[in-house]
Amino acid sequence: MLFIDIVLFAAPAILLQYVVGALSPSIIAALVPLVLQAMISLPVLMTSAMIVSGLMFELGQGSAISSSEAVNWLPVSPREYVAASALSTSSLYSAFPALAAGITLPLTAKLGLFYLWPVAMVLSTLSLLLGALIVEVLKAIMNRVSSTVYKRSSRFAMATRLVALILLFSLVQIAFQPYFLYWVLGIIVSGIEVAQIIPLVWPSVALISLSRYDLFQVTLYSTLSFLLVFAVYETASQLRRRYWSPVPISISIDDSGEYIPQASTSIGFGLSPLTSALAMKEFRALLRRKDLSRFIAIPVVVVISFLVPMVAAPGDMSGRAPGFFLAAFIPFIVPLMFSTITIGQEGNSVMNLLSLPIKPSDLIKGKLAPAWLISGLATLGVIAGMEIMAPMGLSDALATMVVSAMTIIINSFIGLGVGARWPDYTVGSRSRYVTMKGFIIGFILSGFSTLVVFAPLGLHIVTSGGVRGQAPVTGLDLLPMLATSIFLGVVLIILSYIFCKRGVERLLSNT
Amino acid sequence: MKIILGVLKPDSGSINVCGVDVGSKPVEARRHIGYVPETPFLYEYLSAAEYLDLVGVAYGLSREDRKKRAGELLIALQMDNHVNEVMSGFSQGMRQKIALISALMHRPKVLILDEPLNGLDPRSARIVKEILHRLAGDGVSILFSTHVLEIADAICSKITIINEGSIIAEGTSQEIKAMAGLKSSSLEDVFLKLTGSEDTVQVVEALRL
Repeated sequence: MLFIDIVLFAAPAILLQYVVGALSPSIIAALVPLVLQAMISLPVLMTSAMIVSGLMFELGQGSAISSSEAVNWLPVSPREYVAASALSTSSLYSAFPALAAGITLPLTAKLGLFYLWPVAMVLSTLSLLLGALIVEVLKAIMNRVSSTVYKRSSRFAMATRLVALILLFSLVQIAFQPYFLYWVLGIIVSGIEVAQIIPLVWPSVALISLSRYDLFQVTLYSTLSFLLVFAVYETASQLRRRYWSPVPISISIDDSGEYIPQASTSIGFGLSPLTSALAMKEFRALLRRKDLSRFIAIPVVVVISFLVPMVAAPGDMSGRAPGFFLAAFIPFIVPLMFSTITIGQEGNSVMNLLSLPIKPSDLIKGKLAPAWLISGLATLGVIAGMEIMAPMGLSDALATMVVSAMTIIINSFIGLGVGARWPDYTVGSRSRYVTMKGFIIGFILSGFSTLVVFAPLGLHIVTSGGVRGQAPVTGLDLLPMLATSIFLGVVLIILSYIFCKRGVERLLSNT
Repeated sequence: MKIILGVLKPDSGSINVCGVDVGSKPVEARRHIGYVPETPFLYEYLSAAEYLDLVGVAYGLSREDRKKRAGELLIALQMDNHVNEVMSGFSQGMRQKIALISALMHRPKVLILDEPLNGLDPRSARIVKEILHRLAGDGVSILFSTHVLEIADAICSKITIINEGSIIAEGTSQEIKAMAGLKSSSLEDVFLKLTGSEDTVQVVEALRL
């Protein structure tokens, strides 16, 4: 960790030292207000980045890991637990301040803003810790809230938690859109009087005061920032003390109190009863496991990250290409993500799959059903939505749907093939469910396949007025281009299925 | 045990389960086997009923068969009141019972049980032992692994003692005791003698507790 931090600090510092040295005085003068705003914004960015990372990776952990039960029998006090947990989380994300320090050191030195740098670094580190402590408060509250709600109504609680998680991740994503962030930070910097009453921006207010050489305000807001950190630490400790011994809960799915087996029926689409049962298990995992629920939010987040700039600056997005590129991105990333994690997320329970009489073909279909459904719905939604905002036209939209469907199948096969070959069964802190090697291979294979399948249709879109209304260039017609895409798609479906099946066979026979 | 299940490949040789070669047809062989691992890693986010449904469907049981067979076992092991609860809240004993029910519900011809009585209450342990006796009487082959030698002595018709990967004794309880020259001793004493680990008293004294 320390080595990575040193590299992240030193590399940009050395590089920028040379780059800044080569800049003309006029460019340097233009950079001063930008760097000043960046320095002032650093603390609030650190807190926000910490909270976002906490929401994504800390709050999503299973209760076996995040619960205080793991340590509450040891001679450890809740205060020590909170301090250790917050410091551990902060140190995990210490790359943020290390990188910021490396980038800003040569810039502030050259632009005559170096007097800000040491104070900004101290306050940024403090803000990172503040973010980690806020995550501790949320962790304690969420554990308590979920046990209370579960006791009242299990099904309702599970549905509510899922919706709440998706909303939370989506809101966080919107909050971190560059457009939105720029607007908020602009308000903070220009409206210091308003910002003074928001505790989270006190470190930034201290830096603004320092830039104005107002030492009284610097001392006041720096002190207030430290006091805020202590106050949040105290709150987190008190909450953790209150919920130090979680009450065991039993979540009942059905109140009938007797075993009524589900009918072993197929749900159609060539899925056997076993395939349907496996698919249901996968859906239940996605809907009920805290660590997996966040993955459902990702397609929503991806769509939002594309749509916010379009809503914010519609003039930049005229023509048919934006919808097409978004429609290509969803079938690339969403099925890949869901299918890659599907084996590793089994954890030790993978023994169930290995010891039951399950054929590879049943496992493939059962495992991929959620990926197909979610990716299909996300793609359909995006294409339909884009038809309103940046229309492609019906024929292009239909062609894009066909090619998207093929890409979803290809990338889900690639993802499962990769997940079966390089699973990471660690179901614990910040689990990825696939090894880094598998992730990289899957990303490259899927990216290449998506490019190959979408390229002919993309050529048609781009060369027939698809980018900002340009005139046709070569007149590559839709039908031959679509036929080429379909042909390439069929070839890749066959190849990716072979890749997937061999991986699953190897998994099930442990060869 | 995992080689019999077809989960691990043997270095050499082959295994047949009910006439099915495990190496070439592992899925087919698993249809005849019921397996309880040492630690039952169940799907904790499923209810017991949902898990039993999944296992039952995997073994090709009809809805009626699942209701009858699993229903009987759930009542016998006093799990019928918890069947619709999500298993994350289950104790070790409750998980063990669900693992046992899932291994028995399809009436396997071969049972592979790794420490199956772990965490069970005395009543359930007695019931499981009775079930195993009856299944053995009906011709079911039961491979039972345990470190509790009193259990092995009480319920196994043939015992194999493995030390550091090698078989050091095999036969009925009486045959093994006779082989060790300890006819009236417990199987534990025999085990300690055969494995050369009789220094337990000295070990405890050395701890100076």
